[in-house]
Amino acid sequence: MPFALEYDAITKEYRSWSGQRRVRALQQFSLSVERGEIFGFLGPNGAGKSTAIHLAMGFMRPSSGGGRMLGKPFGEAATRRRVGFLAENVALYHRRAKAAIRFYGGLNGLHGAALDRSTRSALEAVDLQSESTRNLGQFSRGMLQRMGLAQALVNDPELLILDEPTSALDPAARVSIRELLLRFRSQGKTIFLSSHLLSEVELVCDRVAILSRGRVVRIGTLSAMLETTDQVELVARSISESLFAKSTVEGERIRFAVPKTQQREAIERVWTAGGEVVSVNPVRRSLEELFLELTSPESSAVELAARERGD
Amino acid sequence: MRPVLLIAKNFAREQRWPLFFLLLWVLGWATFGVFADPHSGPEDALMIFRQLAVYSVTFGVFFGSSAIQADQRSRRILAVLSKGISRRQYIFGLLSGIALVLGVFCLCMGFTASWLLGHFGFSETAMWFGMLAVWTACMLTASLTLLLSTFMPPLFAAIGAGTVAGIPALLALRGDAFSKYVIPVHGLLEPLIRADFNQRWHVSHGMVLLGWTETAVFWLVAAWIFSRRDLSVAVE
Repeated sequence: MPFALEYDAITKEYRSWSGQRRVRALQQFSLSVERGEIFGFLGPNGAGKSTAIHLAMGFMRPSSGGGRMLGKPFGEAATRRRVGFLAENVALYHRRAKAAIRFYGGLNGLHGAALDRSTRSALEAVDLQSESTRNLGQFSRGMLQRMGLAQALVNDPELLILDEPTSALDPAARVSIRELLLRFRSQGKTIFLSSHLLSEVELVCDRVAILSRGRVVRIGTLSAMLETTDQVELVARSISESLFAKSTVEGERIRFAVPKTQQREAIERVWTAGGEVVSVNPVRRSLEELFLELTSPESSAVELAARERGD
Repeated sequence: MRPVLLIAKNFAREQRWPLFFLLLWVLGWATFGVFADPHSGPEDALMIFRQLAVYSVTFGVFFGSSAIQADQRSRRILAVLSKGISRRQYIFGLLSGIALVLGVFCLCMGFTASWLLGHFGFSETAMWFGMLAVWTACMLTASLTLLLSTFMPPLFAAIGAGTVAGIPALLALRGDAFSKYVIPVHGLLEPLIRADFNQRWHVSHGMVLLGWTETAVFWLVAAWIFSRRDLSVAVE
């Protein structure tokens, strides 16, 4: 089965009218999103995330390279009928909520009873069915964001491409959107999620790609990315906290980290001191720590990307 | 075809206030006719009609130049083009929307002219075909402006369309017989400008057909260019 989304060595360069100023937004960008997964797409502002998404949607053409969406080349209208898209800073025509969703559903070829059904279920999915007769001009930013999601869901898409879907939402709405995304995954749909909210990504995504200066600097499952290979964390009890450097006390328990190579020795020291080892786990970084590490200007991955780009 | 109609209907809905004010103008003209002086009134009413017809072409330029740009500036184009429609369908939808708005305007103008000028003795026999010619001229300029707006800012597209349509008109006025067929806006409006209460308003069928053919060509070229351009949207 083909990938849900596939970028193959895409380079995208923006040029000024005179052609003298050039900005390379993506360079040799390759990425594959498997069907049925929630894929997190992360990167600092200006990393090229929106460019990558706009290329997939056919809003722009690559300078070189190519890609496929649901097995078809980027930019085919027929493929977009099977895709739902929510843009960053959603903008919709000001009309009544129900009429707006019907309009966007109609553009996807829905009509009659199927359109009525889809409109109702899309509004229900984002909890806006009670506002269906209100004009979008009177909606708050969070409600507009949910309307944006509803128009993306109206065609019951196989692939959902979301650019910052929860940025304007309150915590309760975020939770409901998160549950919606997980429900979608359980139905076998694919979600490509671009977000700055790392905690959200950490909670729902199966795999993540981190983009910096137009290149993927890290890609993989979250568990593999967040696990460090060189440190383990031990929790012990009935020992003195002075036994290990940088240990923290949590009630009767002492928590400390040691290099993986010294794991056995540390356990034996606990036993020798008459203590008991409660747990031994690999040290996990937070996604935020990893993100900052990979996208900071000092990062070797960023340096490499910049060097290859000729910055 | 359904997505095209939806975009057309949506465009007309978005332009409801400009259309409303244009129709107020027609209403003002009708009101003038009711209270006009019986001696100078007919000539004045005909002059206003000619003015309205010429201005309606300007409205075509206005709608044509701003249609794509308004959607891009507001970023609403992203939600539209993310659906299962091609760029060609989108452009055709906008052009159909412009046709709808200007069609309503020309229809109201035609009814008012038929009642008011007919009342003063203006020949009604060729009136409706003449209105079709005015509508054709509007659509021709709108499609030309829309074509230019696919790669130019709206103001330059409007100026460009005025220049491209105006040069053949100027050459035709100087006696060049071929120029009036190049972009026949002038050829379509000239019979109305020349018509009076003694001379019938007569438009050639061939000129109307040529107008629609060129409109279709401009649409196809606009769609071709727009399909190959990156969509630039404002970053908030």
